[in-house]
Amino acid sequence: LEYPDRLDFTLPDFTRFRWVSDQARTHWEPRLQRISEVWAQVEWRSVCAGVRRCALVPLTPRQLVAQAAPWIAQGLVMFPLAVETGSTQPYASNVPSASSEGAEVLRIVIGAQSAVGHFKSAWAAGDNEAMGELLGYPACWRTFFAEVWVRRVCVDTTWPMASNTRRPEEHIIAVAGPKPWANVLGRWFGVRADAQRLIEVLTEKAERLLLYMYPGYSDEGFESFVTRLGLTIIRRADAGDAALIRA
Amino acid sequence: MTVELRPLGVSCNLQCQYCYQNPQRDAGNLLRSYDIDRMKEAIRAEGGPFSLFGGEPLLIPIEDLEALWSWGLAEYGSNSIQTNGTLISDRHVQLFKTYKVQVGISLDGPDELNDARWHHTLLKTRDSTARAQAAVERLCTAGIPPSLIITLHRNNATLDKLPVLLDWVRYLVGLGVRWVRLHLLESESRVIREKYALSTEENIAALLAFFDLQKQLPSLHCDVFDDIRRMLLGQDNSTTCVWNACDPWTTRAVRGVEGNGQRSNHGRTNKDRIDFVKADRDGFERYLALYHTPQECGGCKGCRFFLMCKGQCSGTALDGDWRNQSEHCEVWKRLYATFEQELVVEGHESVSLSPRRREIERAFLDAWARGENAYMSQLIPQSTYDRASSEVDWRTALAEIAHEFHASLGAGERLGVP
Repeated sequence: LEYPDRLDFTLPDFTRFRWVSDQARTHWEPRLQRISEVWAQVEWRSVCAGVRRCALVPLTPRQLVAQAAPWIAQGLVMFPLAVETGSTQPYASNVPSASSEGAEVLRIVIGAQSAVGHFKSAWAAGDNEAMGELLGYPACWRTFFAEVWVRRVCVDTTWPMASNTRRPEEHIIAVAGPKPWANVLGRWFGVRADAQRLIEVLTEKAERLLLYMYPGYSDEGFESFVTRLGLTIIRRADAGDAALIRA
Repeated sequence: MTVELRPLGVSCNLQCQYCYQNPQRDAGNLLRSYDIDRMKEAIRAEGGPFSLFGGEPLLIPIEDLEALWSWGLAEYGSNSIQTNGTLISDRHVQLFKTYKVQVGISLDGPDELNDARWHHTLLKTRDSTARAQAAVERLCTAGIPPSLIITLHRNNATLDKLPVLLDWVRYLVGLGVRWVRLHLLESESRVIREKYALSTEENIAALLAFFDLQKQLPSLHCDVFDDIRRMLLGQDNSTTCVWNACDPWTTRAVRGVEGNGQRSNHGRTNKDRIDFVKADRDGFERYLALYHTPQECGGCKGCRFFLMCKGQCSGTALDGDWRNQSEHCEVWKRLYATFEQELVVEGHESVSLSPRRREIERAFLDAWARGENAYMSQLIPQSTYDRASSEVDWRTALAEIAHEFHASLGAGERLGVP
């Protein structure tokens, strides 16, 4: 699908939140914040768990110093790919170069040495397919990315994502469903629907990923997280403290 | 800036057919109780002063009104209220005087001209209209004339009804009313729009008729005309929020406080039946998008009045979608063109015709992209567009003084609704 009526300008990134009430904010904001923080850990823990070969994370130099030790302990290496300007937006489609005003952020790839080497080459060549594969994204994701983000140059993928679920009716796509984790808008506040996608697409690996993630989180917090995703936790006797999760 | 205090949210004794708060009422999002201490705390946090608002704020008991106003007078030196006027009693008038309460009344005309401000039955509606009218007269007699909000619609401003409306305003001005805010009807309901909305031509005719009336009555001030003139001159520093790139997610000119102390936006921007809490920061994406989007697609691209109008109030945007231009775009464009011509005749230079217009627009776009608002009055040396200021007649000068006085009371927003 092309966009013949596309206008010749691009808005700067803007992501803001509004809450329906103070009460809702008090109730939900900390939870979403915790999920978002956990997901940031999942980015690199998934590499340790063998779910994927590389992770790509943005970190300030200070965060890098604070967080690098566990990666090294896990035998991972990292390579800074670019110096960027940290966005003040909760979600940003356009990453400004470091020449812009704002705090500097390092774009870092994490993984085993060979994988990081491959990623570095793919980054330099702008090979999205190879990078996507190294990041563990399934083929359907990579195809979507190549089509929507790269070819159609959509910096907001909400509409194409929704229209893959349901055919648009004029200017509206009404997407409903009992699964809250399928809400693609969660990405704007840092809760990517990727978790569910991983479970749907890579069930075995996703279980390993979540198992790996679990020790780093309190029991209560993790269960809340999993419940939020609408998943079921099945205790496994031989897994000690770990849990097996099914959608 | 005034805080809009809404103890009972959108609760109201009337059922005005076109009220933009109706969807919220239909959804049952009504407050039924309030906490005075929490409200005071929230007002303090916002920096006060406050204006009582609704729904209908006089639904709350008179003892609580007195508690709020005595506190408001002590804290901020004056008070204000926007009411439909139907519940005003002698005791209220006494409180208004004691606690320096500036009163704004929403009333669309006498008798049947006000029927759209419905009250259960025609009999009760007419009775409520009479009571509101009597309240205006009583306040004038008491030496505290109210300001008025008049919404223009098919019940009061078609060509056949307009003379009656104008006569009524003339009569009230004779009693002492000076400030009138004119609203063009805006409703989310197709049925209501079909029944009550004026055509573009009718809206323009009604507004220009009021402008003529203002010329005839030196003490009458319809702020929309003063605003348009000032905007064309680049004097946007004390004009109302509808011309100044209001962000619908923060409505910075209106800081609402609900009965439970929760902060809220100006309700006209709420199209989802919910009084959203303010977003944490301002955004100007609407204005960046409008500037670049062709007019036939709901934008303002190429409009020479963009710097003045900016798509007007996002609460009146096409299709209830705040990203679009105002549904009244043609009305405003024609009005701006009329005033632009008048300024030219007077020897003023309008920003809309200035060779610097593109440069000023660029400065606005840059500011908005940084997440900041911009003002022409800060960008333009005022002498450039005010070179005829020494020739400005006494009425314009008086209007400016009154405007500043009004702004100092937060009245630009005080008059905001319903």
